[in-house]
Amino acid sequence: MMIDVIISALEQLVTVQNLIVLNIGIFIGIIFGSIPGLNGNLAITVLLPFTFKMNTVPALLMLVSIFFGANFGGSISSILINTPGTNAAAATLLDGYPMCKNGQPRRALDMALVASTVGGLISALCLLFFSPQISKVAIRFGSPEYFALALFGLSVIASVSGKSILKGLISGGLGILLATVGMDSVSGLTRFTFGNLRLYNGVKMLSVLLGVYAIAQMIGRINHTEEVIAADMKETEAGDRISKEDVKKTLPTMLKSSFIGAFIGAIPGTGGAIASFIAYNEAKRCAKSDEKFGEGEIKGIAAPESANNGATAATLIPLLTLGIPGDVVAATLLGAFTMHGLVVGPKLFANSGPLVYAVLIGCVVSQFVMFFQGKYLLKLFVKITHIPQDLLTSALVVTCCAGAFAIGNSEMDVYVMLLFGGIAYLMQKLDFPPVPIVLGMVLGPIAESNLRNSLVMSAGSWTIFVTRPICFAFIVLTFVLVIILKKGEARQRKATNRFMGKKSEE
Amino acid sequence: MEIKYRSNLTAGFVSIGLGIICSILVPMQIGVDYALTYGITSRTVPYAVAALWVACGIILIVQSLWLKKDEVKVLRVKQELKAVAYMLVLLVYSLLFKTGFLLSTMFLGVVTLAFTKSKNKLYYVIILILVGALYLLFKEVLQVQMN
Repeated sequence: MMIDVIISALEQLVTVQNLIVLNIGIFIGIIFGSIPGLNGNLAITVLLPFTFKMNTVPALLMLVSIFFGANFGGSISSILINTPGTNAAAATLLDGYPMCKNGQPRRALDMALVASTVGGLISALCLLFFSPQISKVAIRFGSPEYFALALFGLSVIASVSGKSILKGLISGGLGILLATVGMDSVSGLTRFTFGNLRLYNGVKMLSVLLGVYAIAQMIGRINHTEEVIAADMKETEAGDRISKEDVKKTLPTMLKSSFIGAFIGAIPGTGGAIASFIAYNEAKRCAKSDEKFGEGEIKGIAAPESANNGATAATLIPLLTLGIPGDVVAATLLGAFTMHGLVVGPKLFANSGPLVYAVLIGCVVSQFVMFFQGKYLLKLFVKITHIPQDLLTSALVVTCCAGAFAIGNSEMDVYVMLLFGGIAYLMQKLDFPPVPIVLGMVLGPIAESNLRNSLVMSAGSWTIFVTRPICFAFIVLTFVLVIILKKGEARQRKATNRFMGKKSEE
Repeated sequence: MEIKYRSNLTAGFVSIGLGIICSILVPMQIGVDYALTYGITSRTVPYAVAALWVACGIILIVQSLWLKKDEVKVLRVKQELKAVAYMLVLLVYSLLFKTGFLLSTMFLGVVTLAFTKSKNKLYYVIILILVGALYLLFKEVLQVQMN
């Protein structure tokens, strides 16, 4: 039975089209990751409309491979210009940039590539093997458990709220409220439609995503279009390549950090940035006396890079098995899965097994694609980071507009995107974080409908949430996670500030 | 010119304002639910969000005024006017959009470049070509009906 599913998945996966889209996804991901100010989530959001007419497997393969590519891409600018392309690559610059300054940029980039591939591979394998098992347990969930799960997912807001959890809650409330727009599926009543028929089906999540992540950022870039130029790779010096000894020396660090990354990535609300700092600290703690971290130590690149890529695919574990987006990219990918007709959550593997396995095996394959692109196209990627910011801003704005219109051939989606671009820009001025809006939009309706169903099941008794063990466990876990995430985030902020302080001194 | 404001204090007032507006809108925008709902109606979540906003707003104000937990932010008016002007451009674009995707988006692309003070004519040509290419890609390849 299982073998049949795998064979069917492989049949769907092994096509020329899929190989092409994997390559395109990785390529775009690396570019977006390597340009400071852009990131994988922006790339996925902007390119999502281009996948509407594609089949499900290639469309999802392209989007997840953008995610993987962007994570590696972040290390390019970290190493070459001492500016992390993504948050997850912040720890990489600690030894990556010093190694670059020591005349070995290519060796540093090669190490980042190998470590990223190892981390990504382990993470993808964890996703492939653990997701179906978790899913088997989760399939027994009823409405009360789903409600508790949605609450658990909303607790991620605690870690993505930046300086103020209150502001995160306010943003999350906006997302929940947005999700109520349209026809209420339980009562049939309309909510916040203002008499506009086009709002009866609700506000499309992708329009909001494009507005919040892309347009708001572009409005900000109008004021800051200074050239962010990545230094060219210096002339390759003799020995400026990674050696077999380097790989041999760093392999235990890479493996350990990859598992750290995969474990942390699977916890909702964490992600690559936390994983990379923890792995870096762990590698530093275990360092031998001749290994000088912070001065271009090769393990100082191997550890964070394998950890942040180790966290990538693992972030999808709670998404695919429980329907809980662990971070913002997962929330965007949730939108992508939904738009392609897949309902993520416990029933995903039962309902769409071959299709999901095709994507999961594709995640493993994409790590090899990333390795080969990194190996042979690295100089091209470095050149592309020189793309003028003014041209890039304008190109992204028009691409977003085309994408928003393509969502449903409706001007309304373009208006919603532009409106939320403006709102998100103003929110930035008051330090309201944008990520909770997405979490609220995704999890709000799940919480609401399952709360109603649960109360119907219990004839109005709220004790249903504490008398069912799994449900109660999730509610307890929600509180525990909020406390852990807040503490962890404070620790990470301190570590980042310390590292950034050190960076500015340089 | 610069405007200084306290982030938490301003956010607190905005949040309370939003909560009040939301609670006024709920009865106007959502009908009464007569189904068996055990206290949870179509209005419950919107009212809960309004209450959350008011509560968070009050705590933010308390944090700012009494606990002195706040950050003074500086708004550079000249810079922000540019952003506001660009938002107006987006508004004009949304009005022009009815005339068709191609022309309106070409207008937006060119104006965006102008806003970034781009002097390279080639970039303007590239943007015009890009809009045309996107139009053809969506219409001919992805079979999306562009107006």
